[in-house]
Order: sequence, then structure tokens, then C-alpha cells
Amino acid sequence: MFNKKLGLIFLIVAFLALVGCASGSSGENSSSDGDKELSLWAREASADLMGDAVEAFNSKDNGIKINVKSIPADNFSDQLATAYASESAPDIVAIDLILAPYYSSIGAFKDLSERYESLSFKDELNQSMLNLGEREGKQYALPYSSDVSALIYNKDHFEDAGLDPDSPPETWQELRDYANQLTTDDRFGYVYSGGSAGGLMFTFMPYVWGNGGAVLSDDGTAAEINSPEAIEALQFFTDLTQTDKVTPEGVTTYVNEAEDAFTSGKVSMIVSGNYVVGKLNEDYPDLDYGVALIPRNEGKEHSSFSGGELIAISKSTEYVDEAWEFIEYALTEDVQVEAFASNGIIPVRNDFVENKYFKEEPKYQVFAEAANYANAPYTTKYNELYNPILSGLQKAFSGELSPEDAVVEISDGINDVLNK
Amino acid sequence: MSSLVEAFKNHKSFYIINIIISLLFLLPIIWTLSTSLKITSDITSYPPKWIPPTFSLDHYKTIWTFENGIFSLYFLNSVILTTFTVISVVFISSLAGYGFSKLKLPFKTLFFIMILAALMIPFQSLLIPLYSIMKDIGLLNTRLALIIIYTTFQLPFGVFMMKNAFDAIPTSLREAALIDGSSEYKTFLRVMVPLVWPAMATVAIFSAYTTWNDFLVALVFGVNDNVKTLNIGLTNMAIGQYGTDWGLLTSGSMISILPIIILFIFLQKYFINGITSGSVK
Amino acid sequence: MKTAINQKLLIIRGQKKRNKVKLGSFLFILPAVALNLIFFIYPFLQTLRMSFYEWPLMGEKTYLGLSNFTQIFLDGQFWTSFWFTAKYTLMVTPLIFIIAFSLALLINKRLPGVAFFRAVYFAPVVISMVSSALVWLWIYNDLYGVLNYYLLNLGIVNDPILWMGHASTSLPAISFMITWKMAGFTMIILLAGLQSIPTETYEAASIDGASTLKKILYITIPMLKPSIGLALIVSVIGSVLGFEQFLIMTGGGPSNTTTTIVHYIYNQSFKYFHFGYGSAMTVILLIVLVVLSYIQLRVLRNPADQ
Repeated sequence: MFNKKLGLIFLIVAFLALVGCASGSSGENSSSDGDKELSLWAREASADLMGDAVEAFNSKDNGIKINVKSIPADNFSDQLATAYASESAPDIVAIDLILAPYYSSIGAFKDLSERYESLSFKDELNQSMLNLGEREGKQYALPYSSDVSALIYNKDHFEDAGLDPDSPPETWQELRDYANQLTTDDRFGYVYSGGSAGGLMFTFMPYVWGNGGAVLSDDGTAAEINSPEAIEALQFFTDLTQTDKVTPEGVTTYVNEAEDAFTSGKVSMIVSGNYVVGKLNEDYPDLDYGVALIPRNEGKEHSSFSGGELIAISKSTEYVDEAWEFIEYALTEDVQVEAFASNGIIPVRNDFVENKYFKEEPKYQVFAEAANYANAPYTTKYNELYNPILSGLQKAFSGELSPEDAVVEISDGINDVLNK
Repeated sequence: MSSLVEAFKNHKSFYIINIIISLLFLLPIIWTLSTSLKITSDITSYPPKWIPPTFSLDHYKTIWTFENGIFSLYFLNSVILTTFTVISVVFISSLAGYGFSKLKLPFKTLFFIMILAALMIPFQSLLIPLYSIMKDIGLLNTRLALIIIYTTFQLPFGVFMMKNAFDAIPTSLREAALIDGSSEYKTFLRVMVPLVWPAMATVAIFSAYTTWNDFLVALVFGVNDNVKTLNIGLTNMAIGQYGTDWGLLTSGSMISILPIIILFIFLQKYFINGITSGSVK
Repeated sequence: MKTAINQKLLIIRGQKKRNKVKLGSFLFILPAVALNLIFFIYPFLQTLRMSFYEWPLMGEKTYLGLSNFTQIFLDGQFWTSFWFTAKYTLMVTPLIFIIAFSLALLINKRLPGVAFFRAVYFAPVVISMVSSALVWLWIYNDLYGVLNYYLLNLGIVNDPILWMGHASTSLPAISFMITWKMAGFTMIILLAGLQSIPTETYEAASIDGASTLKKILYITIPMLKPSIGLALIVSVIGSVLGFEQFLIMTGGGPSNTTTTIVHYIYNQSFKYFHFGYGSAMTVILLIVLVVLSYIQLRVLRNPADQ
């Protein structure tokens, strides 16, 4: 009898040990002072920036407490998808804008049309971002934070190469000429990020858009990349890589690798986002650099990628009014200027784009200008579409396929996905 | 020290070979350490420098002082999670390893394969169903949920390892003990367990570093700061959508490998103090 | 004489006992089996169910029967990933094993300072995969990486090698990094196994004048079979499920040539939101791995069980 008892005791001890440490759990939806608790999920960059603003909001006497969960960008989709599939979504989501059409299309978000119409500043909101939050005439998500891309160049390198550090390349031809002049034995004139879909969005697609081309039709239902404009942009890049060899042959460079290459002085020009300004100013005080709009083709427009986040309310939440109160707050000066613009994030309200922080740092003004040209594709299948796009573009950059053949392959790949 | 010199003289080739291989293994770690001690503007400088031009503990300080030292809370969380997971994995694996090795049970092979199969599945594929279960039983955001998941998915290795270890002990030993009137549990605890220390130490080490380094489970199943782990805190801070902060990444790595290396050095003596040290006579 | 009879008697009794399954015996495996059933088998059954459906993130699920499975066999990317994963496994498993086995033999000694060497060989295991992969990506970088710097300066190459630029170089480069990272783990499995070989066996062999190589071939390896089996099974499974290192270092590229099978499952499930399709691939992968592991177990089973 004794032996069984001993065994049982062991099991019980083990179990208690397990249960005992469960005390680290937390209650949900009601804090000690009776506030309604709402969860907000955001990518770590914006979540970290708005810490103080959220605290200020929580300390207001409105009976609402916002709990921010900061999620690494690479894991955001895993986490959010898991939560929605298990019907335990956060009340508010600040979502990578490119994914917003998908989540709107599956009915994850609350229709905010009426509330949006009632906003006093509704006409000031960034229009291209609003488009991504709209579906079938209804507004599901509102602009929240904005990133755009522009050309960053090393002024010292310009001087070394006998170029004027205050006149960055304006056109494709100038970019190509300058890149050739800047390239030396241990330096490349220009580096783009061909390693990931996000990288290409930021660093290559603006050349297609600016040239009048497109990846998808406006409603996202058909491929439009098989166009002379897109082929010309692709040809321009393959010339830089294969003919002039002013950019490394590695088509797998990531965005952060391009930035590291820039700070290590191995590269003179890259395309990057507004966030690098703060980073470079703080960590590389000796680096003399300039910012310019992404060069345009002769006779064509500048362009830029419009990144950032939209903010939306989950359909499953019990606290729509409270969540909306927070969203309204998130669009005020406290958040858009004091929390975001002070850190180089472009405000999503046009009336805030001119603010004291941007006046202090002219480089931000270039990005703010780029925001006017910024573009992003509308599709509910962004990641899936990006597979054939990334794959085909990499084949063209590396010289495996001609630009003409590559766009045909991409086009077919896109249509396969869209018709599935 | 003199014994080391003595040993070196007598086993020159042993030490020389080990020193050379150690250097090869250490190079990337030395690079990591050196990076963690550089000021940010020196980190990506080219040509690469192994010795920091300006020594700085800034990155360590940044981690330590972040949000009034919230990393000590994360650290504590990691310690708690790891401790409980290691205990439950070693305990449950030893019991089950013994059961699978020495006891007669129906469907033994089936159960064994079922347990092993938990190792053979990409964890992401179970994420949604597991999340639903945890939600249904009200364990989301608890340490218990994390410990249960860690334990379940570390058991395949633990049970396999322990079964092997018990397999290596002659069956006659168990029978002799039973004949002496010892119960199954006493036999297990007093006769068998002391013979499998090396395997238990291995399982403990495996469980410790797996739990300590876990990212996905802790991220998805723990939402609030009070269950956040060191690895999540560090990764969140060092790797962002806006590039990698090498200073924080490398100093974070150095901080987070230390506890496990210390545990390893403490446990490694058990790798050698097994059967050979003379329990079986 | 008396004890001998007693023993015999008791052995007979013991055998009788052996034929009867005791309830108490179940308690030994109960915690493991219970956890496994609730937190692995049960969620897995749901994954299995999902594999028969078109399963979007939210909303209507459509029953498809076996068509997810038939589609997989026609999916070019599935096969590309399958063969790439197989290639990676075949490259990295022997590499890890040979190095780990040599290290285990090398440090299976009681000499001062050996603890330090053991800790050094094990240290890479402790660094998280994300950090290791990122640091190695930096080391391998073509523009500012350490490795290319030395290759160029020593005149071994004239142009930097684009390690991640093509599958033919990224595969060995990543295999090398994984070997560095994982050899220490296999090493401690083998080291623990080495402890169960009685020293007397070696002593006897030494008296018979056997060489070191012979001792390894005829004593160590046969007696280490269970540990070798465990080490190989764990390492094969780990390689087949390999994902994070490729996700971080190549992103599966260029042009999807380095997308491993789990990376593809991950993309289908969490990037493209085809959870049904991803689940179907998971089921196939699980079956392949169970069969592979079973074969390995049979080949390397403990001599005592035969």
C-alpha cells in the first residue's frame, strides 16, 4: 500500500508545484479601480513610441485603461492570426497597413464609417492610407502612423567623388551617373534591398510607380506589372547591377543590411525610411548625410512607398465606444506630434505635418514631401502575391531572366494567385 | 594550478587539440562579446575590429536601466519558468522513461510513439488549436500555460533519453531489488535513479536552455509584462522592423547565455559521475 | 545453496508478477501520457480536421475532402521545398554527428580544465537561434562581413563571396553555422551515453592489445547504439523541421530556392492564411517523420531489445 501512496504523493507534489506557479496570471477586463481594460496590439516600433501617450490617456478620469502589447514586426501576423482564429482578439489593433484589406475583408474589424464621418478633422487624414482602410464603401480602419521611403546619401562620399554634396540625384540618369562616380574598389555607389518583399516595396516599387507603372490594378484584382513602365524600371535596376556593377550582385540584401552597409561606409546611397534619421543623428554624429526624394525618370513623377499602420477596432470587442475614444485620442496632437513626429514618424493628419519637430530637422521635411507621392498596393492577398513578385524580380536582378521575361512570369504568378 | 600544469605536460596533445577547437568555437562568440562592448558608431565600421576602439558598457547599461529596470522582472520570470519547467520535465521524463523501459504496460509502443511524435511537428501548426484550448481552460496569460506547453513538447526528448538510460541498466538489478522486498517506487527512487544522473543532467540542461531561449510560445501565450520573458524583452528591444540594434542584441545575448552556462558547468560533472563511478558492483 | 534456491523461487514469482500489469505501473507513464494526450494529440486532431477543409482565418470553412492532399502533390513549390529540406538534412546531420562524436570522445576524460572545454563546445547551443542567425548573417555579409574581409585580405578570393546570394553557397554556409550551433547538444547526448559503458570493457580490450580505433569500432559504437540512435533521430527531426535559420538568413530566397518545408507551411498558414492547406502539409510531414524515425529506431535499436 505504501508504494502507491508514495507515488501518488509525488504526483500531487508535482502538480501542486505546477499549479502553484500559476499565480502569475492576470485578471482580464477589470482593473482594481474598476476601469474598463482594453487591449491594444501594435508592432513594437509604434508601441514603444506611444508608451507615454497611453499613460497620459490612462491617467484621465474616463474609466478606460489601455493595455498595450508590443509585438515584434516579424511575429505580428502569427500572433494576430492566432488570436482572431481563436476568437480572442484584442479590442484595438494597430495593423501594418498592407494587411488591413485582408482583415477588413474577413470581417475582423468593426465598421467605423459613421464615426469616421463625424470626425471634425476627417478631411485632414492621409488619403492613400484611408484607401487601404476602406472596403466596399465602408471605412474599417483609420490612418495611425506613417513611414515613407526616400534616398539617403553620404555627403562625404559625394565630396570624395567630386560631386556637389548639396545636389543629390534628381533623375534616374543622374542616379546612374553618380553611382558610377561614387563606386570605388571598396565602395558601392548604390544598394537596394532585394532580399525581402518589404525591402522591394520600400526600395524598388517607387521606381515603377513613379514611372507610371503599377503592380496591380487599383481594385487589386488583376496584375498590371507587364507594362513598358515596369520593364523600364526593372531594366534600370539590372543595368545598375549587371552592366555598371555599381550595386552589389547580391539580390538578397535586407533593408537592415543596406543600412548597416551605409553606416559602415561601404555604400554611398541607399533608399530607406524616415526612421533612419533619428538613428543616424543619435548614433552616428560624425556621419554627414543628406536626404532626397527617390529619383524620377526623365519627365515622370517622384514616388515613394507608403508604409505604417492603420488602427481598427475588433468586431468582437464589447467596448466600441471606449475603443473609439482612444482612436480619437490617437489622432490628436498629443500622439501624432508629441509621440510620433518627435521621433520622426510622419503624422497622418495633414494639418500636423508642419510641426516644430520637423521644422527643427529639415531632413524630415523631405520625407514629409515624399509622403505626398507615396503609394501602396491594395490587395487582400499581399503576402501571397509577393511570393511570385519577389521571386521574379530576384531572377531579373541577378540576370537569370530578362526584364521582359521576368514581368511575364510575375504576371502569370500574380494571376494564378488571384484566380485561385 | 600546478595540477593543471602537470596535466598539461602529461597530456599535451589533449590540451593542444582542445585549445585549437575551442578557439574555432569561440570566434563567433568573441565577435559577439566584442560588438557588445563597442560604441554604436564603431559597430559596423569597416574593416572589422576585434578589439573595441572605445570600450563601453553602454549597451549593458541600457538594458539594465530600461524602464526603471523592467529587465530584472523579465529575468525573474525566465528563471521561474525555467525552474518549474526543468523540474517537471526531469521528473515526468524519469518516471515515464522508467515505465517505458522496465515495466510491462499495454500499448506501450503506441504511447511511446505518440510522445515522440510531439517532437515531429512544426509547432506553428498547433498554434491555433493550442491557443483555443488554453483560452477555453482559462490559462491564457498565465505561467502555467507556458510551463505546460514547454513540458509537453520537451517530453519527447526527455522520455527518450531517460528510457535509453534505464535500458542500459541490467534488468537483473531491478529484479534483485524487488526480490529484496523493495516496492516498485522505492526501487525506482533508491536503486535506479542514482544510476541515471548523467541522463537526468542532460535532460535538465536541454530543458533549461530550450525554455530559456523560447520565443514563440512565450510571445503568443503570454501577453502582459508580468509573464514576459528575458528573451522576449531583449528581442523586442534589439530587433525591430527598423533594423537590428547590434549593441543591444549582442549584449543581450551575452547576458542571457550566462545563467545557462553556469548551470551547465554545475551539471556537467554529472555527465561523468555515472555508472563508471561505481554504483554497479 | 539456500540463497540460490530462494533466488530461483523469487525469480519465478517475479516472472509471474511480470505477466500481470499492475495499475501502479501506469502511474509512471500517466503524467507524460496525459500531457501528451491533452496538449499534443488533441490539438493535433484539430489540425488533422483542418487539413480536410479550406480553412480561412475567420468565417465559413469549406469541406474539401482529400483535395488539399492531392493539390500538394501537384504543388511545385512543395516539392522544391521537400527536396531542399532533404538536401539540407543529408548535409547537416552527418556533419553534426561526426563533429559531436569526435568531441564527445575527446572530452570524455577526467582531467583538470576539461569542464571549460565542455562548456565552450556547448556554449553555442545556449545562444538563441535568432541571435546566432543574425550574427552569422553579419559574419557572412558580402559588404561588411568579417569572413569576406579575411578571405579578401588573405588573397583567397578576389571578389567577396555572396554567401546568401545563391542556394549553392547559402546551404553549406548555413549548415556550417548550424553545426557550430548544435554539435554541442549531440555531444552531451553521446557523452551521457558513454558513461553507461563500463570501464572494465575497455580495460579488458586494452589487455588484449586492441588499438584505439578498434576499441571505438568494436566497443564504443555498438554499446553506444541507443545514444547514437537518439542523437541521430533528434538531429534528423531538427533538420527536417529547420526553419528559423533560413527565414532569418535567406528569407527562403533567392526565388524560393532555400524555402524549407516548414517555412513553406508557415507561409501558407500564417502569411497566406490557407490554414487547411498548411495543416495538410503538416500531416504529411508528420507521417514522413514518424516513418523515418521508426526506421532509424529499428536500425539502431538497443542490442538488448533484440
